[in-house]
Amino acid sequence: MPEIELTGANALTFPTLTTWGWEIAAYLFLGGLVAGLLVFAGVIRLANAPRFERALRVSDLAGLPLLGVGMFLLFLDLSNKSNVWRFYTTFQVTSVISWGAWILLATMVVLVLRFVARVPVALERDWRLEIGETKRKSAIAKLKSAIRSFLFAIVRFVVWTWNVAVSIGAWAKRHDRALALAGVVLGIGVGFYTGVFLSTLAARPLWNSAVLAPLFLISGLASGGAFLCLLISEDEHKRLVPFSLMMCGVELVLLLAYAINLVFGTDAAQRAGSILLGGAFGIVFWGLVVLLGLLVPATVEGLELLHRRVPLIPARMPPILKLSGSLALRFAIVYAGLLSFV
Amino acid sequence: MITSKPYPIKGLVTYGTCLFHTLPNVARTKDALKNLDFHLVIDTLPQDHVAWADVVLPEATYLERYDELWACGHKTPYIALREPAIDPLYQTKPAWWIVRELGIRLGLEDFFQWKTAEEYLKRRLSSIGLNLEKLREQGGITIQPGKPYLADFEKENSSPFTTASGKVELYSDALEKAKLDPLPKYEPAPEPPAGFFRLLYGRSPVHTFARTQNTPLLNELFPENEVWLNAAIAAQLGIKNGDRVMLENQDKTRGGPVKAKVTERIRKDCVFIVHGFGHDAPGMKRTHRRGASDAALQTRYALDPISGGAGLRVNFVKLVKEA
Amino acid sequence: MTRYAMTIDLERCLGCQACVVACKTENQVPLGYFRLRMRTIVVGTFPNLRGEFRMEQCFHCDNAPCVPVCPTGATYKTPQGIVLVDPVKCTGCKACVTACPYNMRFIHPDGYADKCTFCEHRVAEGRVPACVETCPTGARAFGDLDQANSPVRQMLAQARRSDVLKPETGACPKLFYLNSKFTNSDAEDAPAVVASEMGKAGH
Repeated sequence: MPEIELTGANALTFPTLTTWGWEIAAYLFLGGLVAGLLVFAGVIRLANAPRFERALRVSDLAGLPLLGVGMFLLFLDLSNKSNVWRFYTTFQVTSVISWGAWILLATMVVLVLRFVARVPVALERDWRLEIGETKRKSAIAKLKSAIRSFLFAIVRFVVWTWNVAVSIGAWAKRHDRALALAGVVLGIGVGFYTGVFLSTLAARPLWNSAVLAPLFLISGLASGGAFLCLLISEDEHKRLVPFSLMMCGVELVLLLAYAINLVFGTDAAQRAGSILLGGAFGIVFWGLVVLLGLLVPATVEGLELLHRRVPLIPARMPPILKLSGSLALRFAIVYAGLLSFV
Repeated sequence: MITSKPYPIKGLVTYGTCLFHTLPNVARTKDALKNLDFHLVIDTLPQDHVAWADVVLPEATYLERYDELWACGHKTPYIALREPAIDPLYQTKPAWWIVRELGIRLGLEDFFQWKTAEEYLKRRLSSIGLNLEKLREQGGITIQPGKPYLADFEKENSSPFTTASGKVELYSDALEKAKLDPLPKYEPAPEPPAGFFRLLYGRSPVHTFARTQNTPLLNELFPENEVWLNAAIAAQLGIKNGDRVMLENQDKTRGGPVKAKVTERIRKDCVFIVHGFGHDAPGMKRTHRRGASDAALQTRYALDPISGGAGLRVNFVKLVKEA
Repeated sequence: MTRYAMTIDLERCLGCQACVVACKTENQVPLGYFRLRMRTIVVGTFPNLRGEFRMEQCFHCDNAPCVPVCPTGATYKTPQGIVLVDPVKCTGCKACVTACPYNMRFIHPDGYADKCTFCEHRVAEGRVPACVETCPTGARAFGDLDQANSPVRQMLAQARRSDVLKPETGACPKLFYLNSKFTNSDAEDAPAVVASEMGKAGH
C-alpha cells in the first residue's frame, strides 16, 4: 500500500469535488420537465389533437414558474452572482453553458408568451377607482387626497401592465402554431443540451457518454408527460398514456445502454460505473430510478391500458413515481459524477 | 538556578530562545525560573515562556534591523551587510538599540561610543576601506582576499594542533591522564523497556525550531505534529492512522493528545515526533495545545563526560489510546 | 511560437514547500486556499522504502479542457501558452473547476475561479515565477518549450526521464516531472495507483 499524503489541497476539490450540488440537480430536473411540457403541448397543437384543453392549460401555466425556479437555482449556484449578466453579453461557441444560457432565454420568452396568453378574458375589463372630490382645504383632507391619488396611480399602472400583457397574449394566440413549433424545438433543445453539457466534461468519466444527452431528453419528456397526467382529466390521461409508456420504454433502454457502457468501458468508466451502479447510489439508481421510477409505473399504466385495474394503486401514483424517479436520476448522476475521476 | 550552588543566579535574560522547547525537562526549567528575582525576555515573536517574564522587550525581525556584519572565513572569505528592508513595525526595536539603551542605564555608556548602527558599521568597514554606500554598491557583499588555513603555520614550520605531541592523536594521552577513555569505547545505549518506544524527534522543513508554529502561512501547511508509529506495531496495538493518543514516558510524564501517523517510515522500536509543538500559550491561538512537546517528554538526558554534549534521545514512551 | 512550461526535478525536491509559501505571498492567496499542493508518496515496507514529493499546480495544458467550457470567455489562454482567468468576467459557474481532470482550480473567496498563473505578471517583466525563484535546491525550471536551450529544454535534455501526470487525459500538460521513481515502466515495483498516474508526455 503506498502512503500518499496531500498538503495544500483546496476544500472545494478534496477529498471530493463539491463544485455543484442540489441546485444543479434540481435545475436539470425542472429543465427536463419544462422541456417535456413544451414538447407535449407543442405536438398537441401542431397535430390539432382535439380535447386536450386541460393539458394545454396546465402546460401553459406551469411552464413559466417551473423554469423560473430552475433558472433561479442556477443563479443561486453561481459564486460570483453579480456577474450573471455577463452570460448575455457574449456567445462562446465552444461552451455548452453559453448555448444553454441563450436557449433558456429564448425558452423563457416562449413560456412568458404562453403564460400571458392565459390571462383570463374576464379580467380584460378596465378597473377604475373612484376618487371623491373634496372642497375642504384642511391639511388632513389634502393628505388623504394625496394618498388616494398615489394609490390610484399604482392601480392605473397595474391595470396598464395587465392590459399590455393581455394584448401580448392576444398576439401570441394569433401566432399559435409558430409558437408551438418554437416550443417543440426549444423544448428539445433544453432537454438535450443539459445532457450534452455534462458529457463535454471529460474529466468526470461518469458523464462522458453520448447516451447522456438523449437520456436526459427522454427523461424530461417522460417527466413532462407524467406532470400532465397528474393534473389533467381522465379522458386526456387515457389518451396520453400510450405515449408516456413509449417514452418509459425508450428511457429504460437508454438507461441500460448507459449502464452497459460504463461497466464495459475504460478503467475510468468502470470506476465511475461502480460508484453509480453500486453502493448507496446503486440503491437510488436501481431502486428509485429504474424500479420505482420506470418499471412499476410502466407496469401499472400498461395494465390500465389493457383495461385491468390494479388494486390499491391510486390513479395518480404512477406519475408521482415517474417524477420522483426522474428527480432521483438527476441527483444520482450529478452527485456520483462529481465523485468520478479520470 | 535551582540549588544556588556554586552561587545563586537570580536574574536571567532569555534572548531569542524558546525556553520551554529548546531545553529538555520543562518541569525543571520552570522550577529554575521560579527561583529568579528578575526575568527579562527579548524575542521577535511571543512564545510560551514570555508569560514567565517580568519584562518583555519586543525585538524587530531581521528584515527590520541592522545586524553585525557577517564575516565568513571559509574557502572564499567574505563580509556581508545585514540591513533592514523596512522600518520596525509596532513597538519593536533592533537588538543593537535594546542593548545600547540598557547599557547606558547600567552606567556602561563608555562601551557604546556609537549612537546608531550605521555609525558602528561605518567604523568597522573603514578598516577595510569601505563604507555602507560602497558596500551597498557592491551588492552588500565583499569578497576578501584570504589565505589557506595552514599558510602561516607552514611558514613558521609549526603545528596548528594543540596536542602535546603536536600531531593529530587518535589515542589521546591527555584524556588518559585525566582518567578518561583514551580511545572511544562503545557503551550500548539502554534499550526501551517492554511496551515502550524510544522517543525520536526531528524537523519538518515547514517550521523553524519551536518558533513558527503560530505563523498563519506555516501553520496551515503543518498545524500539528503527529507521532510516527511503525505500521506492524500499530496493527498489534490496535492503533489506526489518525487515532489520538497520549504519550507517557518512563518517568510518567505525559504529552499530547497527539495524532498517530501509522507508517512504514519508522523502525519498530522507535516513535518520532516533529520538534516544537505542544505549546502551552493561550495567546498563540492557532497552535495552543496542538500536538505534543518533545522537550516536555525529555525528562532525562545523557551527558557525555568528555564533551558535555547532551543526548536527548534516551527517553522512552508508551502510547495510551485516548478514551 | 512561445509555449511556457515548467520542469520539476523530483530528485532535487525536498518537500520543503517554500514554493507553496512563496506563491501565496506573491499572489496574495488567502489562508485556506492553495494554488500549489504537495503530494508525498512513499512505497514499500520498512526498511525498503522509496519516496518522492510531487508538487502539483495548474499545468497550463496545451489542450486545456477548462478553456472551452467557460460561458463568458473569462478563462483563456495567452499567446504564450499561459492559462489565465479574468476575474472581472467570471460568473463563478464552476464549469472550469469541474472540467479540470487534475482538480487544480478552486474558487477564490471573492467568487471567481483561481489557480496558478505561472506568475504571468512576473513573466511579462522577464522574471521567473515566484516558486521557481525561491526553490532552494533548484528543482524547478521555467521557460519556453519552443526555444532551444531555454532552461526547460536544458532540464528535459539532461533528465533520465520526464513524465506528465495522466497523459491519457489528452490535455497535454506543460509541467514535466523529471527523474521520477514511479513510472509505468516500474509498474511491477510500484503499486498500480501511483505508477498509472505518471506517464510519458504525449508530445
